[in-house]
Amino acid sequence: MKHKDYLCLGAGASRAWDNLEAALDLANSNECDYLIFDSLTEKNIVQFARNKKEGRTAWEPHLERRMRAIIPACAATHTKILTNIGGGDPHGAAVRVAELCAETGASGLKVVAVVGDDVLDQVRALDPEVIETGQRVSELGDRLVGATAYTGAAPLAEALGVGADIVVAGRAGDSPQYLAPMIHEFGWASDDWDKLAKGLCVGHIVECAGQASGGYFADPPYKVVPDLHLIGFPMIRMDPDGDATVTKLPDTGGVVNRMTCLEQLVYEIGDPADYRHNDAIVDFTTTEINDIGPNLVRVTGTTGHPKPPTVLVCLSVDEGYFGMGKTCYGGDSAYERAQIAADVIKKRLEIKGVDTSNVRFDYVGVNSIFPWKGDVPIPKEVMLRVVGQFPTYDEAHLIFEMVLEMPCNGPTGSTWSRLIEGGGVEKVTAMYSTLIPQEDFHPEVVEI
Amino acid sequence: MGQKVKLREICHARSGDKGADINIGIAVYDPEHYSWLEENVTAEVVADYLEEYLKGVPNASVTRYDLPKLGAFNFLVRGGLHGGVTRSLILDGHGKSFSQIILDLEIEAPQ
Repeated sequence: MKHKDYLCLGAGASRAWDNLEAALDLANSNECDYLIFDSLTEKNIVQFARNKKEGRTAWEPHLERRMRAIIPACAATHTKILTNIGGGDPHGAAVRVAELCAETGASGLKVVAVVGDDVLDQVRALDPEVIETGQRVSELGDRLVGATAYTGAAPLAEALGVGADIVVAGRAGDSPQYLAPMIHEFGWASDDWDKLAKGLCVGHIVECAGQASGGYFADPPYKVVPDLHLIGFPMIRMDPDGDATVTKLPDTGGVVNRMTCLEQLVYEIGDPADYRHNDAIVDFTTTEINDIGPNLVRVTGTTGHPKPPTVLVCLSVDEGYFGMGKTCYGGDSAYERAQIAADVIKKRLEIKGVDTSNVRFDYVGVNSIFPWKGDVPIPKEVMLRVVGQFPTYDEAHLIFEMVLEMPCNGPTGSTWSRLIEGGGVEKVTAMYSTLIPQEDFHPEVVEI
Repeated sequence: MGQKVKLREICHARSGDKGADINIGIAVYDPEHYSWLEENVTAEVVADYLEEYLKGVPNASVTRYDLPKLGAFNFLVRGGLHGGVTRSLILDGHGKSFSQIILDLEIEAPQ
């Protein structure tokens, strides 16, 4: 450890294509013992499951740019890396990372893959229940594209145990990537539920990187954040007993305070007394968060419960195609003309034999995200957004085509969109969830 | 009737997706407002505010979880994302805007 009293973990990313400059600041600072690059969302997982099934590269192309920049910086400051950048093919991604080490003059670094999160065979054999629908997995039939288990901290810590400088995992959970170095450095026992929960708690607070240091926060005049364009990503200073301080580098933008950490603590957790990970269950109702200085926040008190008997699995399921089209109207009667267009599009789709009962017609600027109550002012610009889901590409494409008819055949003043803003067709790989017993999940550590 | 206040004047919030559910965390700026919030921003009040939005969603419900040590509440709006980010046709499939939607909620001002 670089610091006598604490282990320092930096948050290098919250997703693919995150702010590389903020990560490089942490890598170059020589403050961090480890940098964690959380690189996956649900959208990525289902896409990579599909890529894998279709024999295409199953990790984000941003791996190339990110790792090429980060590897030499981390090599120079002896900063280890943990990342789930491996997506749907952690072994393949780890091999590419090892090649990038050689290409950037850091060939002395040891790259270790954590594999085994593809549990399609186990899920087919066990045939568990799909949580969202109550059906058996077998009822999904050929529509099941992939099954990806969340990897916990234990196998990541094992990878550090064999001397990894860079750990490349697939669907490693977000906060377990922070817990793993704590287990490795402090030797926390696998049944020390409180310490494991403390590590997961503070890992959860920083796992979305900038969201703990001023991102996703500014709302003047109530909440003011300086220099978001120079945002400093958060760092954890972890004590051996599990209490922690969250901070960021000096002379960076953003802010770390009780409110940024608290908002992130309650982010996407469901029942705060029952936040489940493979390694432990976290009880956030016992957590305390306090400001102890400028950009210094103390996180204490979190308690834990024994790990659950099951592992969460993402099921990637083929669900046809989204078709979307957009066009804009301006002027006092913009909303009226957008409504005329919606009516024309609906009737045109019906002439084409399309069932429009589940097609959405949203008026962006008026009520597209929420049916506002009371007197809502009608804006002078309205975007009509038409979207539907269909079994075939051709049906989905009709949505795009019918919206594209509006500039010539609809009400007056309809914009003709560029390709990238006008919509199109997207293959739908939907995510569902299931659980399998922990003993049926066998993550493995592979030295590259 | 007493004076009305928008939640955003006394609370801050953050929201996101939890599968097909919306997760909305809200916290008081001033700890003295916590018990007022506990009484006035119940799961029923939030469910009523979201009623039209949730129309047609099967088994939609709102649950409130309390975090008194942190001066915060976590609301789980089940079914609120119409299938979740990978399946939903709605514009805000991650539920990111719902923190601000809930902060627009107007209720009686604390004493």
